[in-house]
Amino acid sequence: MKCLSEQIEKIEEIIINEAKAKAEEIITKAKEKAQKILDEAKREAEKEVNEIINRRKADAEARARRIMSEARLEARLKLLNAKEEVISNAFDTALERLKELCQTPEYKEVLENLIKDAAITIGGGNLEVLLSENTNIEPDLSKIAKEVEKQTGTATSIVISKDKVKSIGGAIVRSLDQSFTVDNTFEARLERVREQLRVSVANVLFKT
Amino acid sequence: MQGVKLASKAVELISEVEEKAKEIISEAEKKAEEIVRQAKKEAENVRETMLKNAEIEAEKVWKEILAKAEEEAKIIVKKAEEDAEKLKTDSKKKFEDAIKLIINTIIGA
Repeated sequence: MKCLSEQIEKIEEIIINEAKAKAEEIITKAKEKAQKILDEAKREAEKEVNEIINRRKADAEARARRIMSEARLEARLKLLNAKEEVISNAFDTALERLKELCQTPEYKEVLENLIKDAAITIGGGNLEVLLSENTNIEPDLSKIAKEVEKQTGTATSIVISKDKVKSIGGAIVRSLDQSFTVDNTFEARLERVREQLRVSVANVLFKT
Repeated sequence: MQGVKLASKAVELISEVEEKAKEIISEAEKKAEEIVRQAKKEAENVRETMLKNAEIEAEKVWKEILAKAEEEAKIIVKKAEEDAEKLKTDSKKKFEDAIKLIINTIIGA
């Protein structure tokens, strides 16, 4: 009887111990699984973290490049505007000086040269000159005509037209039949060379 | 007859122990499930915290990069303003030459 009782107790002990061992194994595996879940979550989160930071960094760098690009453009514009201002000022001042020149005795020679230049360009012949409405100077037309004849080999006569031009100075010369006209007013001459002159003026002003 | 009784009693006792064993395992399984459930919850919390911190860090990086760019941009523009002023000052020395060039070109001198 005692023997059976002991055997039963032994069996009970084995069953319980096995159950405890299995329970322990279940817990151990659960802990391992839990650790794995945590590790995996951290690893995944690390990836997301890097993506978030890298994406934001890339966005910021792109924006920074735009900021720098805009700043460089603004800087270039400031310099260009400064140059433009100086060049513009030079042209304005030059025109003012030309206005003043028209009130001096030296203007007569300037005007005569401009008339001669225009007449030669036309090739001489019977010509008329349109002067600025503001000028009282009378150019020596016969002297000019002789010089034009000499240059072109064409008999030349030049008269003052009744028509006047709105101009600071200079003159328009045209053939009497009005088939040829050369505008040698200051404004027209300026317009013809403005772009090229701007480059030359810029070189004078800014070339180091 | 007594032998049969004893055997029956033994089976009964062992059955009880087996039930107890099942309970132990069942308890362990429940505990295991709880451990895994907690781990998942913790994992989610960890992820959320890490992402939140990442957003903060990313914002910091963003601000630093932009602040640096804006600072450099200011320097570029400021230097351009100084250069522009210097250019105007320097050009004054050659201003008369430029005017002479314009006038001479226009009057054909």
